Amino acid sequence: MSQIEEAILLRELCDAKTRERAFKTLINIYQERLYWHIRGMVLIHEDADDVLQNTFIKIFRHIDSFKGQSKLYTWMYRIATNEAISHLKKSKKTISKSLDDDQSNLSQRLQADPYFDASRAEDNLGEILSKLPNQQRLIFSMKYFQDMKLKEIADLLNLTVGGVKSSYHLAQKKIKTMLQNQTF
Amino acid sequence: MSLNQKYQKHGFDVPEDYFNTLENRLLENTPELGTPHSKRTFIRMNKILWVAAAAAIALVFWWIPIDANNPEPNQRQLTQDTPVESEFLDQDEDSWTQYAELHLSAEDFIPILTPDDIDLLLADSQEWDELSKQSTNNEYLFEEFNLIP
Repeated sequence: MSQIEEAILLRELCDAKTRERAFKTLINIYQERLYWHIRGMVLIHEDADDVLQNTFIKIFRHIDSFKGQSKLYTWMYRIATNEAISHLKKSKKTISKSLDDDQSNLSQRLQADPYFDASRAEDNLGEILSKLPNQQRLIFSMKYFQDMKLKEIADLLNLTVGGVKSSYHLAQKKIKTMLQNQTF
Repeated sequence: MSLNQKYQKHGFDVPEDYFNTLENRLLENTPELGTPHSKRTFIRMNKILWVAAAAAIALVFWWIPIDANNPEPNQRQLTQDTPVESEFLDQDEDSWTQYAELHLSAEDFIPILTPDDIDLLLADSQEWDELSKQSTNNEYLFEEFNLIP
């Protein structure tokens, strides 16, 4: 989307008369990219769907406060990321009451997800991802699936580039080891 | 390779038509998305209604004491000048006379006097002059001749 198109869309989003139509356009343009961004973090389709819907509702409610200091997509990406992190934190709290290991729980839930088919996968990356700590999984997904730059990831997650680099390398190392040993 | 294909390669999938139905589901589950700012409009409408209601109540309170006994506002206006005047007007004729003596001058009555009234007043006035003169004479006589009436 060009800067001009984005400016027009923004103007329509801020106008009560054209807001609904503009919002539909916004959903159609960005839903897929945002969904996969979220799915890479939460892994389960049902959770990704919830987080995506919450993301769009927040975008709609707060579009008036978007100051245009960044690209619209970057702003939406940040909302989606925050929503996904918040979702993971909430699940961790719920899980910690019954299970000590939230990673193993995520892994079990992923196995039960009807929209995850390990048999069709070329490798076991999906399952391996479910075994990683949240932050390492987030960073690895952003870098590997979405080709994001380390600086962009650092900005989105409010981390230093060094911190992101270190988490990414740790995740990469663990994934390599698990793929080689098939220990998951 | 698209983002979708990249994820599918690793076993992640989405329900059929998921992206075609998301928009409708969002609009169905969140009615506010279909009617943006509806809450603000409601508050604004409420404010307007409250102001109108307050104005109507104020008007009723202003009107009731004024129009309690008199349905015609123009006539009523004559009686609403000051509370003191209203009090006087609500009392009997004597009180009205007292009020007229205290607060009104001859000019206040001239427009409402008929020619007959004026003649009568002038006649009274002449009579009074005569009586005054007589009285003066009497006083003179009293002083001059020590006459005691």
